[in-house]
Amino acid sequence: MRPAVLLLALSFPVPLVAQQRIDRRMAVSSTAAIRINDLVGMVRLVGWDRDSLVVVGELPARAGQLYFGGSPDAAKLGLKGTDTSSVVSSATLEVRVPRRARVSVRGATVSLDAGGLEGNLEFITTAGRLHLEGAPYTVTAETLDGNVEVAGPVASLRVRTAGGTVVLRGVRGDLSVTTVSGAILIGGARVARARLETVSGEIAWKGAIERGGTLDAQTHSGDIELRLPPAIGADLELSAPAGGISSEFTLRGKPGAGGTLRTSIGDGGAAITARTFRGRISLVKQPEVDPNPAAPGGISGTSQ
Amino acid sequence: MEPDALSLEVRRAQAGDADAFAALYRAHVGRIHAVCLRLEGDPAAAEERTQDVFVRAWDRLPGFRHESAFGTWLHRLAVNVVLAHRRTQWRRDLRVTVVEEPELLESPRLSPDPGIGMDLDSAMAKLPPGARAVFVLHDIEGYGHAEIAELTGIAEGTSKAQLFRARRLLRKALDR
Amino acid sequence: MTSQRPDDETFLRSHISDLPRSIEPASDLWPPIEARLAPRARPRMSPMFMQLAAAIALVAISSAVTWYFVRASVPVVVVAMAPVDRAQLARLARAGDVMEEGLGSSSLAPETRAVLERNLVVIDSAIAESQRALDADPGSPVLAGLLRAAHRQRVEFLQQAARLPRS
Repeated sequence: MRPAVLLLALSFPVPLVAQQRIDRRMAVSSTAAIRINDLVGMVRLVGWDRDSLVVVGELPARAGQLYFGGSPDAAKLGLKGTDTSSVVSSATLEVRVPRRARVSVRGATVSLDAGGLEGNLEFITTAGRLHLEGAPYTVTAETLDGNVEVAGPVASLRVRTAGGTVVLRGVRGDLSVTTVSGAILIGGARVARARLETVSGEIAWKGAIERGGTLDAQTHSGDIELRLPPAIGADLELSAPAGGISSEFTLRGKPGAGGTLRTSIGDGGAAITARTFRGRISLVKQPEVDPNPAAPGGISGTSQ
Repeated sequence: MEPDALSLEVRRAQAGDADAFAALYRAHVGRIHAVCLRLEGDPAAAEERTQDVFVRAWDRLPGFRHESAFGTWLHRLAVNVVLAHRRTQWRRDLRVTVVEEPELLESPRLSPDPGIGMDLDSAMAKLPPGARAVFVLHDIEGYGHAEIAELTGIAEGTSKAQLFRARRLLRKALDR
Repeated sequence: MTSQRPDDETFLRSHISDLPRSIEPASDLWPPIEARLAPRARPRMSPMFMQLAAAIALVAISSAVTWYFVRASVPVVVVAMAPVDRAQLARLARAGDVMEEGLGSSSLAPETRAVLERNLVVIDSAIAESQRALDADPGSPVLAGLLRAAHRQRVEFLQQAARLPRS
């Protein structure tokens, strides 16, 4: 009987690494500067209506020790002593901050799922990704290979990723997106200034540019598709020496393969520049009634 | 760089000489970065804005008429670049703070990060963005409230209230 | 006799006078600035005689060829840009090389280094392709602009790499 019991016990895996339960809280001001450094795994960042900073969740022991403290106007939390020889992907933490807090999240492997924020958000990571819903004032996001997805009327948005895909829905104001090979897919935008750059990725834009605003889209080998309101007024500079230009708008001049075209549609007003070395440029009229205006269009079959 | 030499570099840069513009950059970047840093309150944003300022200056340089010193012209351009970038955010911050939260005029004193001494630059970086903008423009850069109102899109009265608030918060942070 | 506490403005005045007028940025911003400098642009629309004078000047200065056509009362200008600035392109390439060397000696994890190198290959391919195209059509301001943009993207990507959090 004993050998059978022993065999039965050995057939159930015993956890080799203990989990730490985390529950830390402190009062902070409504616009506190909060720095979150070196967390691992997935972090859920939530803006709420209380003037307090709360961290709850679980960390494996090899994630290290959590430090947490500071003052009501400047708080810090993070991990020390993380075992970097192993990938700590099982960590799950929820961090609650006042809605108008100014939050900075930095970590080599951390991914962020954020919502309810109205202040500033900075997110710098090497391998992580970002999913954000809501309307922070400003967002700065840099990741080497992760995807970045933002849905909401952020007033000032800067995104950099090398290989990740950037998907933006309903952005406003001032926008700068840069990738190396990742696609840039934007839907439901209404901007004063947008600068979209990629080397080999594609750019798909669906939205409006404010009168006097600018949209600058550039890619070396990808295609550029601009879905614009049918009544838009804009001055255009379109450059596609290899792939050519096609348009559903009536362009004065002659769009076609190669060359650069400078012309205008409507009564001018906005300034749109699109350049691609090997790709094609397409100007498409948005439908009068769009069942899903915020959904980004896409060249590679990702359209709504 | 001596003023006459700078003037020559300006003319060369106006003619498209990028090396001359590089010399102007080296001569002025510290001053421009200082105003960008104090207005933005964040080093990364300040570096971005500093870049934007010099790129804009290159584009606008052919229109520079030498009616003022180049540094003065560049400084004004820097303020416009930063404010244009932040106008939406600051206007909202200024409206919300002054109208809805007057008690923040007496908010708890700013505290530094643990272990970091508080100087005026550190204290300014921790001000709410709108109050910081008004303080920097008025008390450091010498703009009047009418000019600040025009640059930021707020009312003169709001500018004055924000300046009062900024000075009070800074005093509490420094007077320890 | 009690001394009166100075008001906030008076109190702050001495602190303000001690502020440095100049603060150098932590990194040299000239390479990314240089990468973004456009050749001196021409006006989008200008009277016919100014366009002609600009065209003659450009032909005289470089081998670039510009052309125009006007339809009805709305002039349509096909791009006429400043000559290719090869010295600027060389400076951009050097700036990127310097930054890449600096990154090579930094303490990056092997996986991170692999991702960086993979993306640098993409950028370097774009640079090489643009350069070949420009070599075949040396007067093309469009191709020069695309090559300049590729160099700038390389510099900015290397700047991002320098800012990466280390695990």
